Amino acid sequence: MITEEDVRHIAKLSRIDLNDRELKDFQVELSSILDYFNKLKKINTSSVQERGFSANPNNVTRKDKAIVIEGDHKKIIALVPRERDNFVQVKTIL
Amino acid sequence: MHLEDLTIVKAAEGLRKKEFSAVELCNAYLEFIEKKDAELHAFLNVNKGNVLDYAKKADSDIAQGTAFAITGIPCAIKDNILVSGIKCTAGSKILENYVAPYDATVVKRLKDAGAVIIGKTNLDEFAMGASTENSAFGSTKNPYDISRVPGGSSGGSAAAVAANMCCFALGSDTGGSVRQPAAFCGVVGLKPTYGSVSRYGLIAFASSLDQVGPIGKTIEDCKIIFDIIAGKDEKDSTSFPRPTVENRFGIKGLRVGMPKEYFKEGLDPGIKAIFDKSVEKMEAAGAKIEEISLPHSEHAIACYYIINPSEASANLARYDGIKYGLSIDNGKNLEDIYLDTREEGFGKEVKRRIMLGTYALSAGYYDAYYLKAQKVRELIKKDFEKAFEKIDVILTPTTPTLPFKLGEKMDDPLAMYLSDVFTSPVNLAGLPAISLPAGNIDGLPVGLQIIGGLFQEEKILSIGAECEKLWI
Repeated sequence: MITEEDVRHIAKLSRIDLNDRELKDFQVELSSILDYFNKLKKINTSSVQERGFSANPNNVTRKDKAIVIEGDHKKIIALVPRERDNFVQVKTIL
Repeated sequence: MHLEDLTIVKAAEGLRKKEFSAVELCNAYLEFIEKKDAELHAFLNVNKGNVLDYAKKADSDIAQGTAFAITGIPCAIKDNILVSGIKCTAGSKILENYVAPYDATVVKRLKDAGAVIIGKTNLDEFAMGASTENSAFGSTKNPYDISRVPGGSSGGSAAAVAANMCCFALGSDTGGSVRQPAAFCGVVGLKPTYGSVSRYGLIAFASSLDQVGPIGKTIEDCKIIFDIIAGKDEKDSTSFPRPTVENRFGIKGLRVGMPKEYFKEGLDPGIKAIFDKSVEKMEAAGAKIEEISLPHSEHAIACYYIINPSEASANLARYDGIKYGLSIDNGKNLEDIYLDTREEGFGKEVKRRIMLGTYALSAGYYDAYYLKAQKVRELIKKDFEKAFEKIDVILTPTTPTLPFKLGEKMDDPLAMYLSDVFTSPVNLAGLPAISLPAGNIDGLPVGLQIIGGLFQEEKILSIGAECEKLWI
């Protein structure tokens, strides 16, 4: 069973401010799901090479070139919760 | 004539012969939605604003002889696929007021082919679920029995097609989310090969598993839609050009594999009986049925539920309350905006998966969980590759159970995860598969799944079209 401290730590890494009830629920639920995952430990994978994607083994590259698409800027700024002078506004970081 | 229960093929024929107009067809569906959707809740948003303008445009294209196969055909789009200018919520409070700034490639292709988008359908939040109960906006009900779930996560799309509220729909399938609801609602669903269909404009969930797929009333309808949406897209580097090899197949002489591991335990005996009857009919039509082994099947769910939340936890890091969507600002620092927005905006299953994924990727656990799962994924892929050396397709039930009752599995996440037991291995291996109706038990539909090798959509669709005639 994972500890409540573990759950708090994962919640912090996940950037979710879980309430006490959720912390308790997740301690139980995540423990049982992680136990279920542990069945994979029995499988011998010493000679297996993992790959990320399923169909294409090759990397796909393109030129790192910015393209201006007219009109999209306005639509995207319209979705920003706090905007000033057409820029995304964020809280002071430093 | 009931306009709302036509297939794409029949509706297109009626339009061409001027038996009815695209506006009349669209109105028939809108009326049906009005009548039925209060009870079923398949739609999150009906495009009342300008849907008739699209239908009028379709009528003029038909009159001028510039129509395509789906010009004027009303369809529904799962609400995690972007339709420009229309809200796209992904079933989440965090995107409740998000208006899509562009069309997903699949949507653009449907629009270019003349389809009329009638609305956006309900789903489990960010497609995480197998029942549509995880939607932040309420569950969809199964049209065959409203006390039961329609499946998920594309439950709204499957229910909308089954209840004649649209002619066809798009869903997305990460671990069975097109096929399982198609089976539960008695319709056809195709999960294409990973890379067959562009994911551009599909809200990212688990990027190495996600695919958009059609849900329709018949195999033929699903093939029409697949042919339109499939193919290389410059905006999705994992997309592939359509293979040009013709790979149509018939039942006679077909080698069908039956994975013995799928029939061990947990399979509803009624579903097994329908499976056996369907197999007999295929044998009578000349198919050779062979027992095969996919030895790592029993580990697929564990493998899938490590990889899926890991990718989800990374993809969902973008919902920060800064760029778009919900933003909770209690006047403190930047990090508090992240913490409060995500606590408020995400539902329980989404939080559960982000937590699981973060854990599986975190220092000290990466090797034991994520890396291990990626290696097991290779073994699962190899099982399929080996099986396809001696058989043409694999036949399985789509789901181990009939549509379950609303609320039945909500308190037991592992039980819900096991709904994907026959479908998620297919996503891990990147293969194409369809679910199609094979019968019913006490009025509840049962679907069977046909799995093909990579990029063999045409093969499984042509076999499915024959099974469609044989089974029902």
